Amino acid sequence: MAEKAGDLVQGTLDMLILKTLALEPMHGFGVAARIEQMSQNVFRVNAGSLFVAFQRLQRAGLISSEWKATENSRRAKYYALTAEGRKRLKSETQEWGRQVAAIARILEASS
Amino acid sequence: MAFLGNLTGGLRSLLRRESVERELDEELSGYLEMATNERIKHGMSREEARRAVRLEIGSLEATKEAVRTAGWEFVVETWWQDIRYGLRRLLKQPAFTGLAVLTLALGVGATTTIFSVIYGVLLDPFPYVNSDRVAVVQIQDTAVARPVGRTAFPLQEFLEYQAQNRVFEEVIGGSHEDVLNTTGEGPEQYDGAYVTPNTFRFLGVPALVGRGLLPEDAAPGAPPVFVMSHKLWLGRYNLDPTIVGRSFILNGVPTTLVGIMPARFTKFAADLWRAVPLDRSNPDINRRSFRLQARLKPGVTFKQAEADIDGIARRLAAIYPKNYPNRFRVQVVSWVDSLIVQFRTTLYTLAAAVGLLLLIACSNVANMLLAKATAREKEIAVRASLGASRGRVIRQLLLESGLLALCGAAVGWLFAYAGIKALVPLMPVTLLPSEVVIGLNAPVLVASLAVTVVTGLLFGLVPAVKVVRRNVIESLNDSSKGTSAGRGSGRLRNALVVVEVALSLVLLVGAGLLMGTVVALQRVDLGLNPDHILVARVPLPRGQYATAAAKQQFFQTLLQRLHALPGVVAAAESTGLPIFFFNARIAGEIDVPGQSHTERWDAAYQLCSEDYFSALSLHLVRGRTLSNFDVNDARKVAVVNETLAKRYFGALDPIGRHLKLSMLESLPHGAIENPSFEIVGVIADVKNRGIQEAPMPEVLIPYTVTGAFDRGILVKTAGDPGTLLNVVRREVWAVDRNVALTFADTLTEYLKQFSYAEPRFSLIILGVFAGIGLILSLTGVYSVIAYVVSQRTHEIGIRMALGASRGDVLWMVLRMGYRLIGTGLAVGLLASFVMTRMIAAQLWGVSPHDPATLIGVIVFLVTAGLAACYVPARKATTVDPIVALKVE
Repeated sequence: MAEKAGDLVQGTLDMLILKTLALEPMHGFGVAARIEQMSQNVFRVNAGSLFVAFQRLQRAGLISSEWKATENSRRAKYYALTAEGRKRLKSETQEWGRQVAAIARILEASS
Repeated sequence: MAFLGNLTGGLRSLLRRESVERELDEELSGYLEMATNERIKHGMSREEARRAVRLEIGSLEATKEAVRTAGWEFVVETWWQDIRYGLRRLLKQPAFTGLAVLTLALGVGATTTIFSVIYGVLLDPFPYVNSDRVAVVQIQDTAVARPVGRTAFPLQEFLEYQAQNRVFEEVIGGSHEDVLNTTGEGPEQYDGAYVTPNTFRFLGVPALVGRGLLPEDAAPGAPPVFVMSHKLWLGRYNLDPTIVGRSFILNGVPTTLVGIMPARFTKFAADLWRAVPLDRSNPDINRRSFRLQARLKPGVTFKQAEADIDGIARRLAAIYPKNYPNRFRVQVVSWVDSLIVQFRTTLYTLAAAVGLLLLIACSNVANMLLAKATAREKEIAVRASLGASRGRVIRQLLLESGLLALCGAAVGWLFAYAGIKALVPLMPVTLLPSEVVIGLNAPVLVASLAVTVVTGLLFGLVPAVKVVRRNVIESLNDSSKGTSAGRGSGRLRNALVVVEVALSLVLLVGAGLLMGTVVALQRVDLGLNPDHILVARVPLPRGQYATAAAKQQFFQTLLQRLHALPGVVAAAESTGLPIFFFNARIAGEIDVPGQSHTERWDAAYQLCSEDYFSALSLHLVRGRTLSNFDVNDARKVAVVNETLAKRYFGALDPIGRHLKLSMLESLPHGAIENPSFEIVGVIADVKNRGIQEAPMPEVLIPYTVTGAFDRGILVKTAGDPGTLLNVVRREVWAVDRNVALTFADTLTEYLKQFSYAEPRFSLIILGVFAGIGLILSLTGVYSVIAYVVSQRTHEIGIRMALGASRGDVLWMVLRMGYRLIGTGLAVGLLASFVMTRMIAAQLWGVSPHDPATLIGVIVFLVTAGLAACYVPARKATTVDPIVALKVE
């Protein structure tokens, strides 16, 4: 079901969305733009995957949504991190760190 | 929490589909707008920006689709779509759907009916605690073919079995007793039962009102109490709860009613129960017999119990040789088996038969679906080419057959409801435990639903897989030139029809053999004429009629009054019920002075008055029958049957010789000293152990020689004996207000209930199944042939254009049909050789391979098959070559 996540590393989209929303509530385009910008255009976010991820995260109770006016006074759906989501982000970040370190060690050892 | 969010989110998009869609639309177009604006900010023109964004994120619809199909509700929705699609398709072809549902309903209905009987009789016959671990001990005379035996024991033996066994956790016992309730309005006779004090605790069913019997109720000095059945409470006391606590005069003793049992508690089928202490010093109790039942200790099997009890029985047989047959076998069987005897195999046979019927129904529907499938190939190819996955197509097809199966089940349950209604009165009630309740209950419906699902898969899978295996392109290219269409499916359909014909043959052979059995049973020479005979037991109040003289006084008066009644041809005293061995039939030792023998000699004892012989039209072979002088003067004379004469006298003429009726010497009451009886006549044999057993030696003596034994009457009438019953009752009351008839019925009714009911029950069910199976398989044959004819119209047209005559065409189609039927018959014959072995136990007087039955069934099937093929064959001959060739 999960679409190929653009240039994203498999399975990291949820974590990146949570990270982005940790700073402030944001609408869909904002999240996509933020991820691309923060990764210095290394990652591209596919709109389909993004909205499927929003639906999934919201149903899992990690984010909530609300219709609000944007700075250009348009209506947009803003997503925000829930307490649950904040906890999940923390644990996923730690886990990610552990995995990256482990992978790095393996790669260094074999070179 | 996450689960809940997922659930509510999914439900929301299922139920409020439009607002969810609108929201998603708005959110996505906002996204598009913002992305476009962003590019414009970086210097692109509006058009360029829009195109770039589109390129980047793909079509909006695809994105929406991705979001829509991501949740679980998408799965629900596609199922719902498929179900609606399936229902629409089924409704669009009402003839097909109706026929398929009807076929399945017949199969499911029959299966559910039989299963509800099996559930009621075998799986849940009793309302008692752990009743499947309750064993019954039977002492079976090996000289008797029917696997039944004595289950009751005199108190002293009962106590020894109870004390010596190592396999029973707890033993209970008891039996029937006639109970007279003396009321202000006159006496009432009830079928009572006495039970050991632990019986109610053992059975573990709480009373409906008040309490059950307690062990203390039988303690010395305890006030006499009894418990009433629901049947009596309803029938006689109108469910009045205030009668509990009231005192009744039962057999002359004021006895308090302490409780009423629920409707299904019908131990001994009694109206009321009283507890008796197991006290050997009480002569009244000491001479009673107890039907022994016991709960097996945990882990003990019936077989192990049998071995243990066999040892005890052998020891007891040495101590009380008169209570045991010369050669006997001990059987310890479950409670239900002790009552239904071989009805269990009958039910298994019916289960097998209904399985065959269900298979025929499934094959028939599979066949119909296969015919449809050929027509559907194009539709499915279109669906596949539009992106439906193979799995989704199979799912769709299975769903449709599942829907058919469910509709079939729903209608089938209505059939089952009607079937059970029709079946219950046909059941051989005398064989069934009185506790049995047969109906459509939850376990039965669950099982039936499971069967339905399996059948749905069974008949749906074959066509589904077949359709999907076909190449999409091939199907689409296939124009309407269907000359070779479905060659493979044709073979499969032929195989199904062959199976149907074979199964029908098996069912028909089974039904035919049972019919042979019923006919053979009805043709049995009973040795008497059972028509217009009323029989009844006459329970005389204890004490008052203990002597032979008192009994003679009573019956002489009664028989005289009965004789005087209009419509009465003859009236006789009779201790036992003719033909059968139960109901007070007496048997015991006899001896012939001067004849030496090592084994004990036994005979059935019939005590009767002089009219007994004429009432039953017994056939006198030699000498004379009992005269009224013999009876009035209580002379020691006897009439014997031919079996006795042959077995114990051989070539000697028995007339004028003496018999020693040893059993009469050792009676506790009314014993006769030196019971030497002169033989005055020999009568032709009369059945005396049921109609399927050869008669045992029998001796008929004047009823006036002893005051022992329970008595009955036998009345021969000119017209319907049933109409005289109430008149006879009144005459009995006129002689003594305290006597009321019990077990009053006509002899033909007894025969129907005890001898014909069981085979007739199997015959009717198997007959109905065979009939339904036959109709289904004939429609199968018909539909295959008709389909082939319609597929080959073109070819037939060419043949006729080339000069084939109508006769040639007719023959060609008939040959096709007969190849199917012939193969089916061959397969069915082989199968029936195996299957008839299953019902061999239920057959009597007819061989399981009875050639007449086999030939009859084959001729019948061939003829019926001809009719099924003839209609389409006839249609083939009317093909106009010009029209047939033009069509394409």
